[in-house]
Amino acid sequence: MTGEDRYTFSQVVSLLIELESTIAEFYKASAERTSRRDLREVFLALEKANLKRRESLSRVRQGTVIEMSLEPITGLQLEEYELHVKRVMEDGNLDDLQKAIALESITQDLYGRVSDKVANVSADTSELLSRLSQESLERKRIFLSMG
Amino acid sequence: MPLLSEVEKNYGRLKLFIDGSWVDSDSTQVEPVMNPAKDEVIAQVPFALKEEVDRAVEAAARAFEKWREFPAPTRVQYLYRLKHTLEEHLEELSRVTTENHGKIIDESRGEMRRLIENVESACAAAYTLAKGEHLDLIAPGIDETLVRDPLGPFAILGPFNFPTLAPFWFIPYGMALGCTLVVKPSEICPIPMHWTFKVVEEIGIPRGVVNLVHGGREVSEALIAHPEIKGVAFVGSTAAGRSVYRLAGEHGKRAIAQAGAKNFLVVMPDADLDSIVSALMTSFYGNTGQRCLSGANLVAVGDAYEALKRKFVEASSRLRLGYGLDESVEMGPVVTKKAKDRILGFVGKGIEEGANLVLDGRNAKVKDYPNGYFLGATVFDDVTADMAIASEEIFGPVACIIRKEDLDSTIEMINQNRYGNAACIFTSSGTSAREFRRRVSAGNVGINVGIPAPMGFFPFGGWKESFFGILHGQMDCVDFFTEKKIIVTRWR
Repeated sequence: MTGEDRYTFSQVVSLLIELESTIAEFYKASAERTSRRDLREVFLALEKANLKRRESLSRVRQGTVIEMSLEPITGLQLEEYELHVKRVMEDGNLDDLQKAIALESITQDLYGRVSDKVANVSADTSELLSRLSQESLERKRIFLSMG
Repeated sequence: MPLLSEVEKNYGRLKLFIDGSWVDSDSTQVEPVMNPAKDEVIAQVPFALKEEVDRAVEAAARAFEKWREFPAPTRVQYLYRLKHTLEEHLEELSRVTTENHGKIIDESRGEMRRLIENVESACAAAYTLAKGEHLDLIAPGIDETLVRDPLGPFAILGPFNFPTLAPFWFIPYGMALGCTLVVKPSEICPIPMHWTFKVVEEIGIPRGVVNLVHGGREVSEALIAHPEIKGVAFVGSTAAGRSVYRLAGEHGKRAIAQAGAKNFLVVMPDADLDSIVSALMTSFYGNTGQRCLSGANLVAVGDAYEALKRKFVEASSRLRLGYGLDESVEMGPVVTKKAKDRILGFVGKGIEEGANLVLDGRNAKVKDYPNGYFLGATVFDDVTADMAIASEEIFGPVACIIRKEDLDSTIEMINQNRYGNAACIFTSSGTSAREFRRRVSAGNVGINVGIPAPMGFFPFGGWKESFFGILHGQMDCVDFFTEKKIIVTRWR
């Protein structure tokens, strides 16, 4: 990142694509670690879903008309989100279910905020992120019910 | 954020694509092709010999006789395949463009996006505008019909600043309408088009329909003069555009020559400065100022001046320079060392003319790329319209702030400029916006938009010395590539 709270559109979406990969890997590893069959199934399903989410993000990044997307996006504090994700992943006091809940909370909040920020740049990206944010909220509810 | 990987470190000696095959040029005139961020040679471009140009045109002429007989829906199927193949290769083509041109990766992706948009528009044109006209009963028992016949082989001469997009303002329309093409990209940035032709090859287009030759002015002139070539589309400087237009005229060829620019961005006192500064950054510094729609002169009207100057200079000073394969970079290098020297010459001239250099980008340095052709954003204040920096095309990241009292005198100043590619106004007043769009002499007008780039399904062309010809690029070139034929039929 840049040290400044100013990003290009592609930079933002690339970061979200990386985040989806990170979370997909986390679900894959969690599925291998857990002894609970119900949790394993959910983790494996979400690993696949996250890879699809990554593809969708790549697609909207590619489809964005660029003249306006070069205008910098400010006020997202993406570095803080990255740090937050890192802290959750490395937190030895949390089990995988608790980590999953924390990660889905982060993506729900982050995607909702980015959706608002890019609404004037790319309508389809904004729409996708709004949907993914809602999805993360649903996932969080599912995980909470399994705790 | 890590640097995106380069597609190739070295592209070797580029080949010509003639009659469906990649061929080595026998030319001994070979020029180095540079990566401007690194000042490194990444390819060698041979300037095609006259016999090689002739072979390419003859292949296009032979292919025309078959291609024109392909039904329109069949030709369009090739364009659909081209669109999908380009989408698959978009990221790779974008990186190639950044490596050779220097523009940042998002700008390269944007160029490819726009290129694909023109392929889509050409499909629409083939199914709609190319249909012709018919009127029953122009007289008792007599009908009249207009059909469009494809003309033949055309030459497409590309610029360095949009090395693939600009030729694609014409290529897909020519293909869709049954014409064949010989493309000569810029000798400074030939690799992106070379790479694009590899994609074109993948779709299995019949041989000779599209051909690629490399070279400079002599190759362009040989193409225009060849008797089989029916017309030429050119994008580049005004001097070269005028020359192409003249030569085409001498040979009785059709020509579209899209040329230079000096664009004014007008900020009225009622504009919301906080919301427009980022649009101004994109306009003045996008593509490192090397685009025909770039802002060049920033006109502060009345009370807009103080706050506009402060915010504009502050935002300009924060732009991140670097190698465009780093996604966090906001401005890349200029295209060549020669271009950098030319821009530096203009900055020196501005100082001599008495303009006030309030932001000096001449000594900008980029860590890890000490030899790149980088220039920081540069801003002059106290500029007047008669200065060379305000009236001549600099084609670099140099902005000139001009103060004007009111909109009337601003429009008058813009209309006196010899170029007329784009003009933009930022205002919250409908009256000002309407006056501006009605009275300003420019082919592309932005209202609260800094880069008024027409979509593929609209024509694209400037006014005054920014354009030579009648028909514009993109959707307008249906008429360029076809000859109208009128059939009057008596049925009894």
